[in-house]
Amino acid sequence: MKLFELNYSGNGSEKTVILDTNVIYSGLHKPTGVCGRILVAGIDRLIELHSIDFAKEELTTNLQRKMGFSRKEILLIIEALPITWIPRDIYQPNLQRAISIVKTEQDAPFVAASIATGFPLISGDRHMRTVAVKRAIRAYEPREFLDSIST
Amino acid sequence: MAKMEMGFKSMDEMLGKMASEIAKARLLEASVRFRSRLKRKHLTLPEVTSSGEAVRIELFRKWFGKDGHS
Repeated sequence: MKLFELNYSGNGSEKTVILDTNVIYSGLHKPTGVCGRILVAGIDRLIELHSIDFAKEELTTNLQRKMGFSRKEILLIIEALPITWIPRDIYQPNLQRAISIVKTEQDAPFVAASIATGFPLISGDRHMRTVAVKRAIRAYEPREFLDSIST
Repeated sequence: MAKMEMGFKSMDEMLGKMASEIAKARLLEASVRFRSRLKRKHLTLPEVTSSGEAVRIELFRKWFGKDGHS
């Protein structure tokens, strides 16, 4: 917990980002694709990858329900991801503001985490890249982000 | 001496590279598991992403209440 208090000062850089779950699914599906290369860049420490505990729970539940993975298999998959999970108490204070910005309230925790930390959000979801969202946080689609760190 | 023969400047650099290769192998293994399960269950990536969205709606209500107050 102390680590988060020290690091999340709201002075995020493009080298530290928050991933939406759609980026994680795509990266798992194709490690050589755009999202997979973002995960590999995290392993190589070219960038620092974060997501939120809410996304981890979504991932866990979906892998179990939809794909029939066991708890042990899910743990192996999640532990293989080069991602640090941001706890709820870091972003929840910004949730109401995020709900007023994003059209779909279930996506608000990601926007709230970006507001709280100052880290940009990478998402393949167009709801996360509306004008209103882009006014509040830095939001990139995966290809756009990968291009920005490759140049 | 071995580290120099392998082109590393220091032991730290060599260990760092080894750790990163192990992490990549674990990611690839996770990816293989993910894809083989998709195939076995006759699922597509958009179907999994879409069910993830449904889970997200459900979890949002569970974690944060109807309008974001937990």
